[in-house]
Amino acid sequence: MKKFNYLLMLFTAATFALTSCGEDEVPDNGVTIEGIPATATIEAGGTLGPVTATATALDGLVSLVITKDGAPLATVPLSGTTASAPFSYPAEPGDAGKNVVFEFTVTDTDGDVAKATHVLTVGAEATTIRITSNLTTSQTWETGKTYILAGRIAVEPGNTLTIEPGVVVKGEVGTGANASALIIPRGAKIEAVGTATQPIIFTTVADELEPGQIASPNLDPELNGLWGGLIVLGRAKGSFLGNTSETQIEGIPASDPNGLFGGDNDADDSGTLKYISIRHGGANIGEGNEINGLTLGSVGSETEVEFVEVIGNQDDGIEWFGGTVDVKNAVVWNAGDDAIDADMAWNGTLDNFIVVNAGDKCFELDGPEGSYVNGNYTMTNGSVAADDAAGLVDNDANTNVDLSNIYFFGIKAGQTFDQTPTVPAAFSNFQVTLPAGTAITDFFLGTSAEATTAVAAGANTVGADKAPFAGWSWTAVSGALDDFK
Amino acid sequence: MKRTILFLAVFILLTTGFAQAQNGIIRGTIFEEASGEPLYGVSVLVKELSTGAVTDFDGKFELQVAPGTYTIQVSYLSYTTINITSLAVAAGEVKVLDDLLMKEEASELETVTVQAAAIRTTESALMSVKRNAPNVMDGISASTFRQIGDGDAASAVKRVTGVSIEGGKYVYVRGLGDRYTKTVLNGVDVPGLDPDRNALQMDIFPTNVIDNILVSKSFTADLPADFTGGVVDIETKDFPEEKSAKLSISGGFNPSMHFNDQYLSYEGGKTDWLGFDDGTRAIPTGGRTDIPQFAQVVGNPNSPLGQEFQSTLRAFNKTLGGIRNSSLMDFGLGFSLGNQLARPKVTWGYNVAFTYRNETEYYKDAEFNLFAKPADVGVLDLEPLEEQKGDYGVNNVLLGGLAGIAMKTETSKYKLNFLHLQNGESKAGDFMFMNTNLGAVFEARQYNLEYSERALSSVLLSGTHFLNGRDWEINWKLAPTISKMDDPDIRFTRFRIPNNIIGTEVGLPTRIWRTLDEMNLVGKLDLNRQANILGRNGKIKFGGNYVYKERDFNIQSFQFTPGNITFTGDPNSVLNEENLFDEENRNGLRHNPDFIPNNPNAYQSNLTNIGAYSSAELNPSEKLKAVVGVRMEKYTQFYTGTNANASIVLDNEKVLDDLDFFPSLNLIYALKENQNLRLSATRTIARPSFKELSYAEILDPITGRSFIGGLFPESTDGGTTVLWDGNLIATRINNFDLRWELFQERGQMFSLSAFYKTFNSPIEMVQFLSDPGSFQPRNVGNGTVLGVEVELRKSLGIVSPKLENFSWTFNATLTESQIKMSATELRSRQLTAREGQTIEDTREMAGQAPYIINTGISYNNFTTGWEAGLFYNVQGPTLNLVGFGNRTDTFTVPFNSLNFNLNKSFGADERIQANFGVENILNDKRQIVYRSFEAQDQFFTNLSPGTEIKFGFTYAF
Repeated sequence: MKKFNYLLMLFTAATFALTSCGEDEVPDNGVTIEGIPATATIEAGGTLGPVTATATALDGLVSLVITKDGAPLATVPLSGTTASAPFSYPAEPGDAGKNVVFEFTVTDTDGDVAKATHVLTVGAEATTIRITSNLTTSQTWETGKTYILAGRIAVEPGNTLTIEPGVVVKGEVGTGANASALIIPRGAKIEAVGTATQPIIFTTVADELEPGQIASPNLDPELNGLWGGLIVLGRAKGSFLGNTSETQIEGIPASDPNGLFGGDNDADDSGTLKYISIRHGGANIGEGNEINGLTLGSVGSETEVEFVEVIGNQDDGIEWFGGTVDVKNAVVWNAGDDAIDADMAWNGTLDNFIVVNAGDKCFELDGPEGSYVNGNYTMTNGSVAADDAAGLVDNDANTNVDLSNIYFFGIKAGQTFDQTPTVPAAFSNFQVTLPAGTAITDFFLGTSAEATTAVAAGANTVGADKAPFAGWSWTAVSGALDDFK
Repeated sequence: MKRTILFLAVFILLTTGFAQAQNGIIRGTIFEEASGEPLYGVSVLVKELSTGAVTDFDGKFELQVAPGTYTIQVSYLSYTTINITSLAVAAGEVKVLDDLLMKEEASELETVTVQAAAIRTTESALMSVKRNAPNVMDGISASTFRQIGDGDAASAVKRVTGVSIEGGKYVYVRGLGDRYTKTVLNGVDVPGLDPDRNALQMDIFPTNVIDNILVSKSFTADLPADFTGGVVDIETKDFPEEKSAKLSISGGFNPSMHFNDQYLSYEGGKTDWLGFDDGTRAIPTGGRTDIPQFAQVVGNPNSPLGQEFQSTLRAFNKTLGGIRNSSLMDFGLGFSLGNQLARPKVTWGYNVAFTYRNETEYYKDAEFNLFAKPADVGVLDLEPLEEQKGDYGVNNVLLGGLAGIAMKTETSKYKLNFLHLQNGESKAGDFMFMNTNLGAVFEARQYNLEYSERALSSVLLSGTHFLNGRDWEINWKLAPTISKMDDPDIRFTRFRIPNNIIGTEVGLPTRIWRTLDEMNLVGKLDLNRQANILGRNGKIKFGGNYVYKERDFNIQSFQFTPGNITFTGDPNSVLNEENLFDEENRNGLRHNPDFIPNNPNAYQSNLTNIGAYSSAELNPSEKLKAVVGVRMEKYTQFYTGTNANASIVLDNEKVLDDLDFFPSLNLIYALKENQNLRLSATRTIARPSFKELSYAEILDPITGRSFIGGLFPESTDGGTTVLWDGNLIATRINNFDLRWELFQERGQMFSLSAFYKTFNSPIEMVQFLSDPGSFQPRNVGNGTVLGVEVELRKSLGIVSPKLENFSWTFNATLTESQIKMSATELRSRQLTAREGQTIEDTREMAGQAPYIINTGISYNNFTTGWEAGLFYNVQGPTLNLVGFGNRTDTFTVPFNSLNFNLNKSFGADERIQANFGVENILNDKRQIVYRSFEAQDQFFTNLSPGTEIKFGFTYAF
């Protein structure tokens, strides 16, 4: 929690001694206070002043007492006949949206009193906060508020960004080098834990969505490329071009060390992502240089990623670049490029996932890029409605993957499971609902046909369970999962 | 077309205005043979008339004579007298006796007699400059341009020993890359026209505005210190000796490129034929950076902002693909006019030249590929990642004009020169693209349209003054130059095959506007004092110069997001109205500006270089000449620009502030009268460019490559190992030259040279270990270059007297370079070494050619007017790009260039000249290849320029 301190700076500016005129009776000269304005207005969290109170009492000043809403705030001892006291007040969280009344009381040696009243109007607390530079301290983004990413924002290593349930994060407009994105580099953490009733939503500033809403009030779920995406980078191993131990993530210039990922700690912990919905992102940087909805670069196995939704991303939905992180309960809807993409010898499991309509391939599954490889990655319990995708599964000769329990439907001619890798790869328990008059081998090439059985629409016995997506995901709320089990 | 006619009309008016004559004029220049310096006070007598003249401080004289045939006697105390016989002068004619060399007389009253017809402007004057120059220098003059038939400075200068040309534009001297070669115009700095280079593009200088090109290969204190290989000085035409008005036309026909109905071009502007765009390619936003963006208007397309967005979207030129139609052949037009008008006490000269060239190239099946080392280190052969093969057409237009006036009095000379060059190049390409990179396997059809406009305007005001006879010579120059490079509307479109999909994987349609404006201001003062030092004639030189340069660079690029639009595959229908975003079509095609709010692809820079020098030319013994000097340069460079997310902002910040002293020693020992032995030891510098010394992060949206400014550091191993510290400094170079030279009569010569250079912290483009697609200038380990040069010009008369008119020229440069690799490069090479491969920590320098050979046989017959030459040029395999990560080194494959040229002069006074030539007789290809340990070479680029037949006619009025 951010600690609020208030500052009160008071000092005596000028004093001069009163010389007595013998034993004559001293007349009562009274006391005045000047310089305090009657009213002022500041923003929530803003600071009043400094304003300068000037007190005068020929009989000699004693003190200035300041109260806030009747409660004592400060007492300043005074002396001499004239004194000035500068006063400033930083608004406390509780002041937001209120009028605060300050009373200034000056007393002189013979008990005369002068008062000044100041009414400070503190604006309502901002519910939209614009983040313009990297986070250099740990922060919490609070429930009920909207945070705007004004560009490429990284949480500097050593810090943790906590995002409370229901927070909406919106990326500002920008493509190329100006694409807005949230980056969790190596050594930084994100604790973004939403709930099944209050997911954390990442979207574009064009989206009029407010905290508490699930469906966008104004944007079509196919609109993409309106901002960047969420990039999480870690220190787990990966198989990189040129056999380097670390490499730069696409979308971030090589000169920014916050874009480096990879290392030798497979149990690395980048934090927690739960009940996250990422929408309308994927701004293009250059050819082969794009931002995915959720990028996981060398993210380690201690990181928890569960209940994730990516909608309308111009590039891939979820892409792993090496690492060991597992992802459970993921849905990708209307990816502009591939829905599910794995590279650089990722070594984790994707369990219970749904793909609805991809732009290119439903699965783009690559192998290692360097010589490092440590077993296969696993994708299991998935349901795929291919719709307008260019293909079902795109394997390479060196794709180190095990795929099982996947149900494909909504497919059409030209969409294929393209090849069997020449490296060990296991395919089992695929089911498919075929268009009329077609055969399994029209779509499933290589050994994948042997793993596939045809079923009637909705008669699948393998595939994802859509229950975990109910309520919080826009895909489910919109009805796009009605055809899924 | 109307404009051309008007143009011609102006020419004719200009030429007819100067027809006036009754007497003839004889003009000439007299030099001292030993020093190559003009002789002052030489008596020139017309024997038959007993009239005469005396040469001025430039060694020049002028005589007015009635038409007739005369004998001229040139005499000077203690010099051998020259008699020139049978000099026929017609009414109104100017006879020029150029380059008369007088020898100090060996015996009493010796006289040399020559037939006037045997005197010609040849290389001999330049040879005499070369022979007597304090430093190692070479050059080529206007007379040779004609003989070889070269049309621009770039093709002409490569005839000079040790000079090679890269990409038809950039000069390399002694194989050292463009970073180490400096190009100046009339001795002063001019702005470059390419933001990625230090050197000037040479191909924009037509030879008809050039008097000669001098290449200084060793440093003397009066030269700028920022060169290593050489400084190339393009001298534009000066005081004409005689009235000349010439009109020339030329043409070129290449069977593989011209009248080819498959030629590719695209619809441009109405003034493309003049070398500039008429606004057709103007940016639809007017360059504004406050334009609305898609995400701001998608929710409300008909708001004022939304309407503005929509009208911008509709204002982009809709042509994205080229047209196949028949190509024209190359043609050119040149006109020059000049005269000298002698008035009492003052001589005036003027010079005007115009040139126009229109050249067309077409490359069929051009290849641009990306190959890499496979991940498995046991596999040696390279694997393709991207293959791009297809056709492209280029139309290049050059328009140039030069105007100069000069004035000479008894003791002073003033010159004022204006030069403007305008060049426009339009390109259209149609390629098949095959991607196999990183598992994304697809085929695509790619369309490229580009236009590049370059303009250079230069003013030169200079003066020369002689005081106290020739004791003091004072030279000053003032030269402002403005240059502009524009690439308006580079268009790129790629469709995935077979469904014509446009997406992020295949690349989004992109439009780019790039501008570079540069201004140079140079002021220069040189003082020369003849002095008696150590009891012999010597010279003291001192002076200074001031250079101010300012550059403004900006790229604005747009990407087009396809939304949910499906395409037909016709590039010209991508921007059809029905595809574009509007109220009804909210997920339609739209544009995204990449430069808002931050534009890391923009910078302003300026530099100031204040130089001062002094040097002395001494003659410690009769045979030894020593030139000793020191130069000081105070160099400051300022930069304004940001990195990609504007977290680092430099606002006119000083990025370089160097004060250096550059000592130079040049010794010339005359072994014999016609033999010199030269030795020189000098210090020079190579400084980082504007862009290099910055925090720029410049992404090329088409290649996907990024340029990263040199001030960013790189580390690895989680930040524990620093690969580059971000402290980019200038390179200091020590140069040592040794040369033996032999000069023989009629311009024959033979020389042998050796040179050795050491580079302290040379700058190279290094890729990031973590991202091979990002390039950064870094100081790498120290380097050395060792080289030998041979140069030979020989008349074949020695073989047989019948071959007297034939001469053979040969020059060759052989070099061995070595550089210590940067830590990043060494590590990257070690990590990707193939099985059985050993990795050294040194390699050759990038851009350094291992050998350059020029040779040719020429034929000259002055009496019949025939000139011919057969010339061969080749440059050894040169490291082009340094390999990194899985990328390998690329090497240029030697291009065996064999050209033939034939000239014939006709008619009375040889008023008509015709020439004919054949270029690239061997039909060689321009190729760059990927090369890796025990792997088959693979093409990086592969272009067939074909063989071109050239012809031209010149008519002198």
